[in-house]
Amino acid sequence: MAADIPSFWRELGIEPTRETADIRRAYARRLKTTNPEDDPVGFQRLREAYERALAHCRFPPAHLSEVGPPEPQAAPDQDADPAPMRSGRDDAATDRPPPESMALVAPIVDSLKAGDERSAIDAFNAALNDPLLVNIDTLAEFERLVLERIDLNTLPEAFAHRVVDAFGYRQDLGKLSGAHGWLAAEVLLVVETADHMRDLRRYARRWPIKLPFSRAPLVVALLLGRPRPLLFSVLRRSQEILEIMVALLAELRGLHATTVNSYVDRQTVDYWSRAVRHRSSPLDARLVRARQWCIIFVVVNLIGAVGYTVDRGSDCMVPGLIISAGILAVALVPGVMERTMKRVRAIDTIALLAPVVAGNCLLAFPPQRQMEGVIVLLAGFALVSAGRRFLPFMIATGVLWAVLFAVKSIEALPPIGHPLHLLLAQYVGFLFALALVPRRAPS
Amino acid sequence: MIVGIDLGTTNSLVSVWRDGEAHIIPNALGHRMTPSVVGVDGSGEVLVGMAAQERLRTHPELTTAAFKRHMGTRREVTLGRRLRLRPEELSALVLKSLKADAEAWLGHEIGEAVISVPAYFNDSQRQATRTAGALAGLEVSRLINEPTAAALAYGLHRRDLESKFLVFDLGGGTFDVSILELFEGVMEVKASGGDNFLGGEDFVDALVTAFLANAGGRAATDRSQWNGTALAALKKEGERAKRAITKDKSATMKVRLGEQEHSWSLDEAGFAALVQPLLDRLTNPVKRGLRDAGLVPGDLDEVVLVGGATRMPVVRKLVARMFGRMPTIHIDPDEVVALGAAIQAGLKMRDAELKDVIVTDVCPYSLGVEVVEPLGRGATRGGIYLPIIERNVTVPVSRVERLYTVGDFQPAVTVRIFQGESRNVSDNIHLGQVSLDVPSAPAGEEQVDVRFTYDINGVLEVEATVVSTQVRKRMVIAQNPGLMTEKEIEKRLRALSKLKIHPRDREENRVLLARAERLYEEHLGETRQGIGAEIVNFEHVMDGQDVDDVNRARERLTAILDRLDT
Repeated sequence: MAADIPSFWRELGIEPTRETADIRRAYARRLKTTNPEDDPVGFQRLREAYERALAHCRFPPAHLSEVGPPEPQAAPDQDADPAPMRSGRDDAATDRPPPESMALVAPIVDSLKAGDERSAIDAFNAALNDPLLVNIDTLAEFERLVLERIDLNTLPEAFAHRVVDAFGYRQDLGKLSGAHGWLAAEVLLVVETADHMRDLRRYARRWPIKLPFSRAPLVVALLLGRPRPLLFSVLRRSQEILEIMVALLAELRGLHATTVNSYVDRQTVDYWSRAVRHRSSPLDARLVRARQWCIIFVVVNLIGAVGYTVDRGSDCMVPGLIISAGILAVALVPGVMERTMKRVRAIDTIALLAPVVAGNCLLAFPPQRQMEGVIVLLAGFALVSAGRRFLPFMIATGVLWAVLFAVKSIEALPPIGHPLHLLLAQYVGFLFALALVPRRAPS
Repeated sequence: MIVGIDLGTTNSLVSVWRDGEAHIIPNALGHRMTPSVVGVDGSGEVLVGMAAQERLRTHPELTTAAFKRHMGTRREVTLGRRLRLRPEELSALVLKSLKADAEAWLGHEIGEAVISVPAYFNDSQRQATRTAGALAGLEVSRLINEPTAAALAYGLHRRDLESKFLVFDLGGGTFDVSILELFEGVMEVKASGGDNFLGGEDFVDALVTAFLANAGGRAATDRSQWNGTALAALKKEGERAKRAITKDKSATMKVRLGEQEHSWSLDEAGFAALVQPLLDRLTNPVKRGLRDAGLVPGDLDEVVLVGGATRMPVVRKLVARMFGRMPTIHIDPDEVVALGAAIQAGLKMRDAELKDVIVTDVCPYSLGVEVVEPLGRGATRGGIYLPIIERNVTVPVSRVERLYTVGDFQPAVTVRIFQGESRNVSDNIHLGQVSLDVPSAPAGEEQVDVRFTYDINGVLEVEATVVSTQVRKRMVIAQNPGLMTEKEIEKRLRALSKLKIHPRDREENRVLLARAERLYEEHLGETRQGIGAEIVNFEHVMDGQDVDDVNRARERLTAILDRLDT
């Protein structure tokens, strides 16, 4: 921004100043030559310079950089108390509201405190019909009082709806500024969260994980990426909501990375990721990873089966297809993968892929060398159970096979089309695919 | 020469800037206002203005009014058997009549006009107004927002003062609020707002509805009893009652249905209670305008009333209570917009007197596109509105927003363009759309730049560019059902030129005859027979073509009708 400052002062043809009157005079002078009728492009430039200069007077840049972005977000671990949120109340105390509009607000606040939403709405409607509120100043006063006196944290949805409709906040997209704009935005948030919830409920039917929706508003507020300090403290205290959070984070990790970034506040996700780290890794992320692996195995397996069939005749195609179909069924039939994954958490993805590896080994070794195939298989599983690591297993198995074949065929290099080539090609492809697949699901 | 035209819902005016002053041009009857009413008579001749208005009561199926409310829609009005006209064409007929008046007064041809439109008119309504101009043979060199025109008329002579004021414009069919600031000779509109479907006509409708519900007897409440003529009579009676309440604090509506006469009276308080729902709708636009301008009522130096409907005491009282002060009415609220349009025409002609006047206006509504919001797990929620031009920015303005693809390998992006303030596009007005092919890529990797340009006439231009291929496309407005294509305009222009329009010089006789016919229907017994005889007599004299005789007969008939028509 600093680099731009000279240009808009130059556009206005004056020295940098804090005097609004000077800026307006300069603007008016320049308008005589650069008017919207004859020079629309020039006018837009002038207008922008004018607005920036006025903004410069209102918020001097030095002040801006001290404050930072105007996000009213408190540090997550700060134990939030409702008090600091209500800074608006101090202003109200200093300039005394006229007693008449106070009298209109009191029954609303009392009903809300008593938890009687119906009569709060009635009182609100009655107040709006009061002839006093025809005056715009009084109406503004009333609006301010309502916003200040109601407890935003326990605001019932229907009441919030009524307030939003009556004051027309929904049509004020992005225009809720001013002294009480952020209070209004909070009320609008309650209504929008409710709207959003309705949509989520609709989609939730298709979700593999069911969110317990009775407590969902809080969770959805997080989804909206507008955390409130109070929300954090509530969530930290409630075990139930913490559990929803775990499920929710699992959902979020399953999403496309850009989606998550544009949609959910990064800091929020990080905060909650830290908070739930002691729990096992989210089921959902593992599911995504396992599915990706399954597809790769199927492709590799089919290449192998076709290769051997071409090489030796038709004895490999049938088992190859059967194995592929089995893996595809596990990966793609809804629910199967989830259940399997839950049961065989310990050996992770490998458990699902063991049949493929076994099948490949048996196919790769001609009947007279079946024993060697079984040895390779066992060696591989030994490695897996030792470290539960996938990549070392793959490399180790590949190396082992290569060595075995090298020993067997060292006397004469095998001719092109020999099973050894196919096998090696399969493993090169395998490792290549490994490099392409992200180690972890995007978060 | 450019004229200024106030094309109103109930009345229209034409004006001109001459010798450093704005003048209202009188019509053939010498009236400053021409009713925005169009009709045909038995011979298929088109009547515009007063003559048509008189026939609204007697020939409701041959006459139509308040068509400005349907501007920008496809709704056609059928007059008589075969004449079907769109709102643009009806407006064009009124414009033609105004053009003829101006040409007669100025003594030369007129090809250009500045036409005023409600500030809150949307894009298609503005386009329709331009089309109406084209159909009337006028080049619309500028569309000016009505409250801005009113402000021009008010502010022109006090340019040296620094002031802020609010124009409260309640016309026949539309409500506009504008907040202006005068400084250093610049007239800056800071914010505009309003309601396109709120005006004096709604107050009449409220009276009509209340009459149907309250006037005694089963017959009156049974809607099927009311044919076109009776309803037209009731509507006219409603209009009369509205004026009577303004003047005398109470009114009685009387309508004859068959043999029976129904009547219903109400006083000012009853009227106020009746129209309360309408009055309630006046508050939010004012509040929003003030908020957008960053002002409170105390900052305003004046509140200016414009539009015929602000004559009603209920409205004046409401405004006074809203702002806690008396509103200003220096200029006739019916004429102020037309005067402002004339000043704008003068500006357009670069009149020396107006050398230093600079007006800047705003775009009163937000303009944007539909976007999709991800919900998670590939699920999305469509129909979310993303404003690109925020309401009440100074125009001309041009803004760009970058959009991203949401689907993996989606082949195309369709940018749907909307106007409005709601977060859900379904509550906003669809203006048109642009479809662009994008290269196949994962979600979020392809980008489309959408540029919105809104010019001083309030016309929107949308251009979308695919960032990676630089393919550009403009909005296709043709998909908007409310607008005519070039071809259609030409066709309609030919059709319109074939219409027989009642000659201007015999206008006065036509109006008198129409009025006599109306009074004939309104009266009974001997009076009715008397009027009938006078009509026959007058028609006979008119056939004689002797100017002196006709003038004498006209004066006589006028005197008689004046006695009857109170």
